[in-house]
Amino acid sequence: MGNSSSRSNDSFDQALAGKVQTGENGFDDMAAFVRGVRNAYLVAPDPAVSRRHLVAIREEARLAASPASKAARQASGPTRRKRRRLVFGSLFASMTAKLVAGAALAAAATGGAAAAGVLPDPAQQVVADAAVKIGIVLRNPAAEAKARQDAEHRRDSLVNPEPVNDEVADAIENTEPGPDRGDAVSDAADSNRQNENNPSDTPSSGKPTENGKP
Amino acid sequence: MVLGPNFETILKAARLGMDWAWVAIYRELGPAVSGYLRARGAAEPDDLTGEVFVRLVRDLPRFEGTEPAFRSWVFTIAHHRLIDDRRRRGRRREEITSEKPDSVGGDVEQEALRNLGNEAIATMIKRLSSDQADVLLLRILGGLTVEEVATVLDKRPGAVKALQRRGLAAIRREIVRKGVSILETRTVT
Repeated sequence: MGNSSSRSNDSFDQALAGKVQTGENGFDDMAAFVRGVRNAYLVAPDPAVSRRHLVAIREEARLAASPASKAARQASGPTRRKRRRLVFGSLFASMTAKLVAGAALAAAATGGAAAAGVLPDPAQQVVADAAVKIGIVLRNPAAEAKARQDAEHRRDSLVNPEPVNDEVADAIENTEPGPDRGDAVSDAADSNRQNENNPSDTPSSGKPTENGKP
Repeated sequence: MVLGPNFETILKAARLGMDWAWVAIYRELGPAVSGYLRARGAAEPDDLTGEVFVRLVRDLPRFEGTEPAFRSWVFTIAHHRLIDDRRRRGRRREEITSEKPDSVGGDVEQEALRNLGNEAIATMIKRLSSDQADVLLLRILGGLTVEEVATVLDKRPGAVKALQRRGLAAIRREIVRKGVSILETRTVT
C-alpha cells in the first residue's frame, strides 16, 4: 500500500513535469490523467470573454495607478516605513502622555494643596487668585489670619471700649442715678467734645480736622 | 513559466498600470485560473475569473516576491473567491459538481473523442473529496508545488501530500472500476 502510494506520487510528479514513463502499470494512467485534465480545462478563454476581462483589468489598473487611489491606499494601510514611524510615534505619544499625566497630577496635587491651604503664602495667594477667576474659592490662610485679627480687634474694642473722658466719668460717679445724672453726663460729654474740637486747648494729635486743616 | 526572466519587469510595469504587462499576466495565468474555477464547479467561472483578476490588480501593490510566489498568490485569491462565491450562493458541498469542460470545435470524430475523455475526467474529479480535488487541480492546472498548494489551502505540506496520495488512489480506482482508459484522451491532443 505504502509502496503503491509512493509510486503514485512519484508517477504523478513525473507526469506533472511532462516525463511520461510507459511500460509500468499505473504510470501511463497517471500521465494520461494529468494530460486529460489539462486538455479539458486548460483552454484559452473565449475571445469575447478575454476582451471583457482585459477591459475590466485595464480599467482597474488605471484606477489603481491614479494618484488619488495611491493616496487612498496609503491612507488605508500603513507601509513598513510608516509602521516604523507609527511605532516611534506611539512611543513619543506615550512619553507625551506621561508628561501630560505628570503635569496633571502636579496640578491636582497643587490644587489639592491649595485647597488644603498648605502652600507657602505667596504661592497660595497666586493659586487662590487664579482659582477665584474661574469661580473657585480656595482657602488663603494669610488673608484669613489678617481677617481674623481684624475681627478680634473689633470685638475687643466692643468688649473693652476705650475709657471715657475723666469729666464724664466724674459726672457718672458723682451724681445720683436719675435725670440729674443724665444731664451731668451729657454736659460733661459736650464739654469734652468742645475741647476735642478746639486744638489750642488740647495737644495736637496730627489728625486732620473737619475743615481739613490740622 | 512564460513570464520567466521578465517577471520583475512585467510586475513593475503592471504596478504602473501598463496594459501590456497585464495582458502578459492574463495570458499566462487566465486560462489556468479559469480552468481551476471551472473544474471546481464555479457557477459562473468566467465572471469569477474576471473578479479574481480585478482583485489581483487592486492588491498588487501589496505583493512582494518571486514568480512562483506570485502564481501561488494568484491561486490563493482564486481559491478564496471560489469559497466566497459558494457561500454567497449557499451551495452545499454535495451540489458542487465539476462543470463539463468546454468543447472545442474541429474535426467531429476527434471532438467526440475529446468530449468523451473530458466527461470521464470531469466524472473522476467529481468523485474526489473537495480537498483532494483542490490539491490535484492546483498541482495540475496551477503548476504549483506541494508547498505552494499548502500555502494556498492554508494546510501543512504533509497534509497536502496525504490528500494528493488519497486523491490519486481514488482516480486509479475509478479508472479500474469503470474500465475506462483515459489514455484515449491522449490520442486526441
